[in-house]
Amino acid sequence: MSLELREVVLTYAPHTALECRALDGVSLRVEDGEFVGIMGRTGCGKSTLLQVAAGLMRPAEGTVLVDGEDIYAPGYRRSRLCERMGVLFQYPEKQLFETTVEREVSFALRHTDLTMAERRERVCRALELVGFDYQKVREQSPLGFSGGEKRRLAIAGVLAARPGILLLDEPIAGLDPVGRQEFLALTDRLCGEGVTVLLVSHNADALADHARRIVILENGVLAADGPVEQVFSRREELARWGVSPGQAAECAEQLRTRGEEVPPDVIRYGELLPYLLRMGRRRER
Amino acid sequence: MYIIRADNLRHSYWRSASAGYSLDGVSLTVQPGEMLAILGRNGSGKTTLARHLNVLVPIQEGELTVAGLDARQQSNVWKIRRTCGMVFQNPDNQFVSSVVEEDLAFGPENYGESGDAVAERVRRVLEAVGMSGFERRSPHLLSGGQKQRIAIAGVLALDPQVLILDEATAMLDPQGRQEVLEILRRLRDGGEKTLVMITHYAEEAAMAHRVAVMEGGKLLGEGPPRQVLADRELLDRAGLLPPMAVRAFYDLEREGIRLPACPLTMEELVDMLCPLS
Ligand SMILES: Nc1ncnc2c1ncn2[C@@H]1O[C@H](COP(=O)(O)OP(=O)(O)OP(=O)(O)O)[C@@H](O)[C@H]1O
Ligand SMILES: Nc1ncnc2c1ncn2[C@@H]1O[C@H](COP(=O)(O)OP(=O)(O)OP(=O)(O)O)[C@@H](O)[C@H]1O
Ligand SMILES: [Mg+2]
Ligand SMILES: [Mg+2]
Repeated sequence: MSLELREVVLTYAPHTALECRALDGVSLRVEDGEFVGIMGRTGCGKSTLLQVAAGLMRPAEGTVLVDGEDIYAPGYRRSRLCERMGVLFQYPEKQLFETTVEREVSFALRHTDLTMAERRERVCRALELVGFDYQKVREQSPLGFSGGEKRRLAIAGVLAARPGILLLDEPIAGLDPVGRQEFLALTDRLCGEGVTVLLVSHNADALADHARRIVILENGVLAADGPVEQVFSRREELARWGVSPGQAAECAEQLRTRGEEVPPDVIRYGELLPYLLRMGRRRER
Repeated sequence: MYIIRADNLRHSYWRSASAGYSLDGVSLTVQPGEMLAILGRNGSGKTTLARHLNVLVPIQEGELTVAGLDARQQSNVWKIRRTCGMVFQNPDNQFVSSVVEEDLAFGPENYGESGDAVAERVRRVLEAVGMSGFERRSPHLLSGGQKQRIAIAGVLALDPQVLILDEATAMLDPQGRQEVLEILRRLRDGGEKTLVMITHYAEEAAMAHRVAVMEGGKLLGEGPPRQVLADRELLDRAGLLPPMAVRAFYDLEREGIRLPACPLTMEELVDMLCPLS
């Protein structure tokens, strides 16, 4: 599914002393099956952008189109949007409110016409995808889980509906390192099956490995939008936008300042390693 | 003298052995002025242990002494909480007021400090976390990273003897993370505060004096970062990954290149491979 933001403006607490223009004319088009990483310094408007894209906050100006349809137009059926879009909030533990895991994860299926058996199958699959044993956890209360486990539950709730667009706000913050890898691999796979992914993260290493396109916001304005290799090699601007290109890219830059020749598009560990080996061999001699 | 001494702590949220233990016999000591990092996969018991240090859960089995106070004694609970300030995993659970400056002043004032001194401290901690200008905002209506900065300011304003940070940097942007780690580094080097830092980033744990690894409610191992973070077998058993620099060390070794020591940070790695002449 495709997603398009057109000249979106969103202001919190308008006409008050606390007025805050969180999005200031943002236009962005994301095609079917794209994996876009969204970055930018704290408070630049990333979460606001996802919420507007999810149909949760009507922009003051501009609009959002999903598969070409204006989701803020009068008469647009919002319930359909719920089925097609999976939204994971930045602190999803707040989203959990049902009494059992089974109910929690099947919440997004409430408007569908799936049979009981089909629902159970969906919930079971979704829980397994995030590393839970369905039989073991289905009757448990979501409140009796650790912080990271609650995030996994919230992710399962999003996946159960099998949405065509995933809007993920810092989904890997709070996951343990293996959980992070598994989740990103899963997102890759879904993306390969045609799901459109917008993923907000400060973790440049993860985005370098998985996102193909990077969008950077600065003060509610779109500052950069392009292939990850290209955006991550704009070092001076990145610093101004408060974005780090990740550990591997930072290391490559350090090597450059010490006179090593490392191309600017080295942004992943796998690409850095040959240069580390080259230096290691030279050191041995 | 230890500031924290836990002896065989056991905890079941359901108070039943059949439901399993979230802490399953944890013994641990921390010295005053020490910085301890705790790593462990999701659900391994890190937050449960932190909750014990602050007596947010009752001590069911085992013993816990904080600053010489027995945590099993109800009369000590208040003093222990004054000693151990905690940054919660989810900042929303920590805010008590709908105005940032009131939220930050609440703790110190509650502990009987005077208004002027508190106001000055609030100003200073807001500056320290880069949030000056947000005094009159509502903590609940901030961005994720801004909330986390205020939560950290909250514990700094309390100025406790022991600071417990439960994934306090998870939502911070690179600059915020650098700033907070710098604050922690200064506190560590000052030697007056004891720091307990829970994190999913092995890179952050590298700055601690000591790293403890949890798994299934147990302490699987502990030691200096250089030992623990380079111990692939231990990390593997705990479901963890080493820092990128350690990964590089072993990848180089596999190609027959031996570095003089295992680096913990990429900076150290660069220094070893490409020393400044
Ligand atoms: N409910 C709200 N009411 C008023 N202002 C808000 C509200 N939510 C966010 N803001 C403000 O809008 C701006 C953008 O916030 P947003 O949550 O979109 O940032 P973000 O890019 O997601 O940041 P982070 O990386 O910290 O999560 C911030 O300055 C924030 O303080
Ligand atoms: N309030 C609670 N009620 C019941 N069980 C709980 C509660 N909080 C945690 N648990 C259980 O106790 C175990 C340890 O949880 P804890 O929160 O200490 O883990 P953690 O190491 O902090 O994990 P994370 O990295 O996900 O934050 C988990 O299995 C969890 O399901
Ligand atoms: Mg956000
Ligand atoms: Mg925890």
